[in-house]
Amino acid sequence: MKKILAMMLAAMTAVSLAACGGSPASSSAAPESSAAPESSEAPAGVVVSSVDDLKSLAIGVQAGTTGETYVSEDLGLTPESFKSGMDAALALKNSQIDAVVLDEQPAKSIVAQNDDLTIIDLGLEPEEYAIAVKKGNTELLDSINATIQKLRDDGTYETLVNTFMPADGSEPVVPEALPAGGDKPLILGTNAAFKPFEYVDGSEPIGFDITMGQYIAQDFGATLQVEDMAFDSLISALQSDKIDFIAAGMTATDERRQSVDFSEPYYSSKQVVIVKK
Amino acid sequence: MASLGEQLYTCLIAKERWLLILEGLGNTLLIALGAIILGTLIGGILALMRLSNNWLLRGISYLYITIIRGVPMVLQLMIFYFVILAPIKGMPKMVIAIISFGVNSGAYVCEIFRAGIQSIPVGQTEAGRSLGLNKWQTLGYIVLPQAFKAVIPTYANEFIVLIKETAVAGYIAMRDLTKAADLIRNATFNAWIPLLASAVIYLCLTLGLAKLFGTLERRMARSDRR
Repeated sequence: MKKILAMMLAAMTAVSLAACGGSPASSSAAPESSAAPESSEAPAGVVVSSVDDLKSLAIGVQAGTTGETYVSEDLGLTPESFKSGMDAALALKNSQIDAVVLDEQPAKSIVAQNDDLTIIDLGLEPEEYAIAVKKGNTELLDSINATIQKLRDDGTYETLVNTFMPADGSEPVVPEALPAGGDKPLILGTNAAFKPFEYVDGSEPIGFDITMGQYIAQDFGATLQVEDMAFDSLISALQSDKIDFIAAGMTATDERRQSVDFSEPYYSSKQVVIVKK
Repeated sequence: MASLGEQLYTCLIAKERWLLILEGLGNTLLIALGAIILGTLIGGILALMRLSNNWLLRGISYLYITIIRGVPMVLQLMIFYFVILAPIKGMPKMVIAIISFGVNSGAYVCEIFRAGIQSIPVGQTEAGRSLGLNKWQTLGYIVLPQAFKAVIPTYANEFIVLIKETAVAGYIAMRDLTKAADLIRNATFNAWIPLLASAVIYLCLTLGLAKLFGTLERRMARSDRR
């Protein structure tokens, strides 16, 4: 039995090494195979200078985002919906799709970590991020609005923006967690694959929204708990009381307003396009 | 492309990412273990109901199996999380996960147990009854011990399937092994190391389990006259 196990392990190692050796080979082989008609436009980087150029491409988006709505409704295309923008970017790197439509800041973070990707700004409609609470939960909503106003007034908001979105594009230095405002739990629902607003780097979710959530919990006299779930599950989780509020770089759209109540907007963003260089 | 060593370092060692894998492994094991215990309980009761002479009990058991077996696991998980157990605020996700996987597993375990019990020739029951044992004694001393031996391989199979099914726990924000691989993939943009690493861990788990049940099976077979 031990022999069999040892052989299995050896085989696994061999397979993983082969896979490793294979990936650089396959990436260097990509330009050769580009002679094939289907991927002829990929290696040189697709040319996207207007919205019309998008219409002939295979576009990746994050499921449940405004990017998905934009591609499917405004462009009339069928987007490739991934669980996260990062997964969409990974598929783009592997040339499985031609472009990714994603919110500006997360797109910047992705491009900062991947030399072979670049951002194209088509000047799409700006959109406003806001915090969502269950319909009718005015107590929490008022408290959240008060906190946002306070942060804007005392300059904390400015500091937060500079911390998480440094102008030089460097890695954010995450501030210490704030002390809790009380014992009762306040549950923040998010999708921690949206750097710099929320992401996991290490073991716990961190980011702009998480730190803002800590301020909100503090002012609400509560302890912040973070639930990291799929972006397209957040609103249903809010409605079934699994979470108390959503801070997930969520744009306050009219469709969403039918299901949840939004706070005052706290960040202005827009959709951009990521393509291979 | 970075060397294998560098990639391994970024994906597993840097920022203590191995802790994510460890946490995920712990959660996966806890869900699977809790679910198989709950599933075995439910399955045992259902199997007896399924074989009972009472049409109502038989009907309930049949209905349960039909519904649970006919709906995808990941949907059941979300139905439990977002609908059925949603009104109970503050219920830990782990408990919800164990309940949904256990309820699901119960249907399959029931069929495994039923097949085992029915595989024992009816002559065994008749012999037991004619020796003066009552219905429950015959079941407990004659039929079930033999059935237990017969179901070990398929029961082990169900346990193995269950461990792998828990990979969808990420849908309800659980951090299982698969979700840990997701988190590392999202942070490092490296797909193959986290995915292969968790694949190898799942494989080790199921290999170990297969070996455990294999040993049990051999022990039980010692008394067989063959």
